[in-house]
Amino acid sequence: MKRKKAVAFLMAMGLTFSVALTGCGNSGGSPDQETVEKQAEKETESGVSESDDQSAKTSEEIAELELVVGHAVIMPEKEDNFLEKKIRDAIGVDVTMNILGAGSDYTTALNARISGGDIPDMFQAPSTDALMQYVENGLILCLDDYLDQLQPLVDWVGGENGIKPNRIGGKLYRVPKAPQGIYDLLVVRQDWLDKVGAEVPTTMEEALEVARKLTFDDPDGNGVQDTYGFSGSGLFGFNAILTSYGGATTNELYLSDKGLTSTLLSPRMKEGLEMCKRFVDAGVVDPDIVANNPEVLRDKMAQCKIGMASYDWANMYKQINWDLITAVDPGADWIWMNPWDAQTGETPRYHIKSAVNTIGSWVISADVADNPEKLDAVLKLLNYVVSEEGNRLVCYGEEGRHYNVEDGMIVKTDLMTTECEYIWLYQIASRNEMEYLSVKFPEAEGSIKAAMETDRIVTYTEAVIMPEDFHMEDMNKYIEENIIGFIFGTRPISEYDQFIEELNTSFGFGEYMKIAEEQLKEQGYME
Amino acid sequence: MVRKMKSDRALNLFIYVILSLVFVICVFPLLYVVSVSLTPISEVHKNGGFLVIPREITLDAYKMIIEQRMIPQAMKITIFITVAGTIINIIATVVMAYPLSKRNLAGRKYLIPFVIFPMIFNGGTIPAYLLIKNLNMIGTYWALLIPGAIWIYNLLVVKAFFENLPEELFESARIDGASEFCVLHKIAVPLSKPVIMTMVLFYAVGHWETYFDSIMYLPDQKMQTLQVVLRRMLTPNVDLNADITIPTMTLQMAMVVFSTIPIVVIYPFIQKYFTQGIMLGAVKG
Amino acid sequence: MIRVIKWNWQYYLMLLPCLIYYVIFKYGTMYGVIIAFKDYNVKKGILASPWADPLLKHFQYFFSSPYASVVIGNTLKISFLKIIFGMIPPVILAILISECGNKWFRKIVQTASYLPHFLSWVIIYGIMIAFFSQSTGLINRWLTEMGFSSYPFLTDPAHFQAMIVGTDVWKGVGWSAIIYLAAIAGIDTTLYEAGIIDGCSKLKRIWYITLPLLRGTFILQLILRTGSVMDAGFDQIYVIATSQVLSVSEILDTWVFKEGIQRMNYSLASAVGLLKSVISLILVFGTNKLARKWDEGLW
Repeated sequence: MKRKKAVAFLMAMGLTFSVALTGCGNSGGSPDQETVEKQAEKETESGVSESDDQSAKTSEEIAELELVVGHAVIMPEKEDNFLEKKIRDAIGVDVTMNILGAGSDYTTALNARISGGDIPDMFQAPSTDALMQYVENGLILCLDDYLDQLQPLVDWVGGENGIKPNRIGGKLYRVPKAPQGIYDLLVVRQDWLDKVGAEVPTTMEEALEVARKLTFDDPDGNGVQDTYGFSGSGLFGFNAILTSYGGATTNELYLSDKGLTSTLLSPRMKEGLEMCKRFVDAGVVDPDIVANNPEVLRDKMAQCKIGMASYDWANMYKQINWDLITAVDPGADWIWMNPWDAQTGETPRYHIKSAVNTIGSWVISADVADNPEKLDAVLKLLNYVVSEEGNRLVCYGEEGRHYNVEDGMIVKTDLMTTECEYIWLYQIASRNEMEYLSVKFPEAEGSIKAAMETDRIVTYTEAVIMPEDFHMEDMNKYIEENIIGFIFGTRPISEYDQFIEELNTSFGFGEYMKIAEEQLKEQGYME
Repeated sequence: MVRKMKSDRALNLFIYVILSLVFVICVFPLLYVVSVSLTPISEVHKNGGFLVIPREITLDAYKMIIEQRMIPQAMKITIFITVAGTIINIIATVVMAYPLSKRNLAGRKYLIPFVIFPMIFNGGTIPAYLLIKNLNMIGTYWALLIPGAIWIYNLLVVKAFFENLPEELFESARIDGASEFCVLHKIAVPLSKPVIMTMVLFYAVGHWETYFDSIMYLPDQKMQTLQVVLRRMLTPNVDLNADITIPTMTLQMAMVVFSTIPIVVIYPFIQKYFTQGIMLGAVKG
Repeated sequence: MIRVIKWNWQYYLMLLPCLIYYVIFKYGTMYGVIIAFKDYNVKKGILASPWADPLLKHFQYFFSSPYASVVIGNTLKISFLKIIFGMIPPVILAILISECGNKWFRKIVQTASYLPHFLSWVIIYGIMIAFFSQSTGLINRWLTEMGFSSYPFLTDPAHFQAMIVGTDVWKGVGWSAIIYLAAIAGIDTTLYEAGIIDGCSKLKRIWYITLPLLRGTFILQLILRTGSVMDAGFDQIYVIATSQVLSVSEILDTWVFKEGIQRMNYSLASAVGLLKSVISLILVFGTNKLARKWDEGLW
């Protein structure tokens, strides 16, 4: 009797398990099963669209490529992805874009896949360090051997000069791409300037004075002193001041008339820090500036708390953001400024700009070279996305649906906003930045142009690859900690030389500069 | 019936005061989350970024989430994972915890450290991925159900609970000739309802929040779980890209409410088991 | 004796599937720790990657970091503060909830207290900004309206760790109380009835019946907490810390994240992970030994 019950219990357990099992089978399905199904679908599909005798042949000829990216974007289902369909029609390559998480999740997931031997045909390199590792392990196709077959791509980036910023250690592993713009912009509220009787500042001293007025003269007229003259998103915000002194909040390498130098070693860095400290001491800087992120800063601007800011055009002047920023005070009139002049005889500059393309570069699996069909497909795809037809497709979508051509100008339709939110992922070799941005964000055209024309410090920091046993992150951390100390007065600026000395002795900063010089010479960035 | 004592009244007062305080501290920020999710962002800003009672209500953020084409599919998948996963978890955990709770289990001295050890040492993501791959589980929901079938923490909690049940209860059943499976099923499990329901909650919440495993093991975008889809709508990209718009606070908060409510509604069902004390006496008799 | 063997046969039958699971999924991947002693090569895989030269290279790299001692110090400090301030409140909350006479009130408070568990740290950071930000936060607005000067709650290194511990307790107290509530629900009600008949006050019943019976659960939680003492809460600190508080916020996991994981140095990450595990293991065995003195050890 009792034994029977035990058996019943066991059976019940087994049953639950098997229910769970069938549940899995039904909605999951093994990958093999799915590919088989897909294959079948594909065959019927091509059978319908092509004439009978050709159908078998075509379905064999279509090469499949898997592209993997790490972005937080929602992709449509494969059947609804018009872009992949169009590419297939145009060049006979069946592209599938997969997303493997974003940020560090992407790095981890991608590495797990690669370790498991599932190397995607093409993927976005998570970082230069990661790419170097892959290259050392022989995972990445070197494109130098295929440049003769990639003429359209070479022409697209403007020949060897355009290819160079994509090289790493002199070799071309990244798919070369057209340079993308820097968005940072220095902005001020014109309506508030009028209220407190000030002009758009052009020099540091004027900027400090204006910041004072925007803080203490109650520009929003609510009778409460609740505004700040200057803010930014993170410590970077202080680059609005420092870069005009040849300095920056981080260690950045650039070429001056005396050869290679670092922002930290700029002879005027101390003056720059003094100026930052004067801003802070005057009480005109948003006390949360270091803690701000773009979203928080945007909210603060919308709440009419900020008079001037180091921000970027995309987060301000895109219609959707502009609506937010002016929602509370429709009269908020944010305009952009030229970099503030430090009056040291140097050209005023605002923020930095990397001479090397590092972010979002695509790379190709070395295994592709062993498969002539895949290799051919990759080369076709690379040449296609830079062709006039292909580039328009990956930038603007389908003509007549997502955009129209009026007098030779591209004009977007409403459907572009709703149906094309993912297509920029396919801009493998980037885009014609100015044209692209003005089509997509016509409302922000002026600010885009201003951001592009702003003078910036051109840096080569990203071109330097330090040996693995160098404590690069620790050094950067120490720099950040101390720059904050100097600006906010927890460490006197008179100790700046001592700080550089500490960097040399404890972190090997001198050695870093030496290695950097060697590598930049080797890569032909300097003589 | 029973004489109420003065000290009891003071204690009761103390209980109410403290619990009210806890309530306020926990609810005030949550109220803020709900209010922001219902208020147009411009209203939020007008209130200086803070509000508790919204003056103007909009469901736009919720509409945006629900209209997202991947949400219904992801919701179905996640519910399936949660239900199937929790069933597997509970069976595996209970069946393993019961023998481990027996003090006369031969080799228990070695078995328990054996069970605890992986809680502290693990091989990391890469060997885990290789294992799943070799088991042909990539691209199937098995990869989300089986590797995490037992959480060691939960196993230990259930084991501790079983240990506290008086052995005499089982003894009487065994004298009647019941097998251990029967004892577990008929005596241990019914007496352990509170802890088992707690485990249901812990495991279910764990499955509901599945994120990284889904990215890792399910390459097919159609198979992704709810958290993956929600985070894609939420995460502003690290590198600035003109095509990406930072989500507003309203959308972020709406997302929290949206993804939390389904898991919060199971709680009252579980709470029921906490309020009934156990009458061991009844079982003994 | 024969009976014992007979039971054990059934116990092992029960354990068998789970032990197989354990061997495959928990121990089967453990070889991964040897990455710590290798120069991990993605293509070659874990086993075929060359051994590091010297073998402890990655450990040496960590200890040669000028931040090594700071990072270990911060990790231990934040962890211990979290244990000290985080262990007791759930017990108290669980007892108060279970002793509360009004059924509805009890349910509402319990539900409310466990809700914060569901908020991610990103959202909690958003809430913290709304309350504590120096320029726009509610509390600072109250302070300035009352004539005080605003205070940098979020960016002052002196109070950062207190903020971390405070928000952690807030987030976890209701959730952790669930375990104790389950334990209280498992207490034989006849014990209380006996107490009432003997004329014990509520306080005495809590003291002499409830608390001793929660001791086992408490010690179990304590042992498990010490097992994760080297995890001071990566998600939380990664989201909340700004560079202004680096000196007090950098913990082992954030250091490894920047130095190891983001730079793809898995061997380094694994070496630090191994270091953490060894320390945790010693602590778990130590606490267990201590707990066995009260007959409450895990084994």
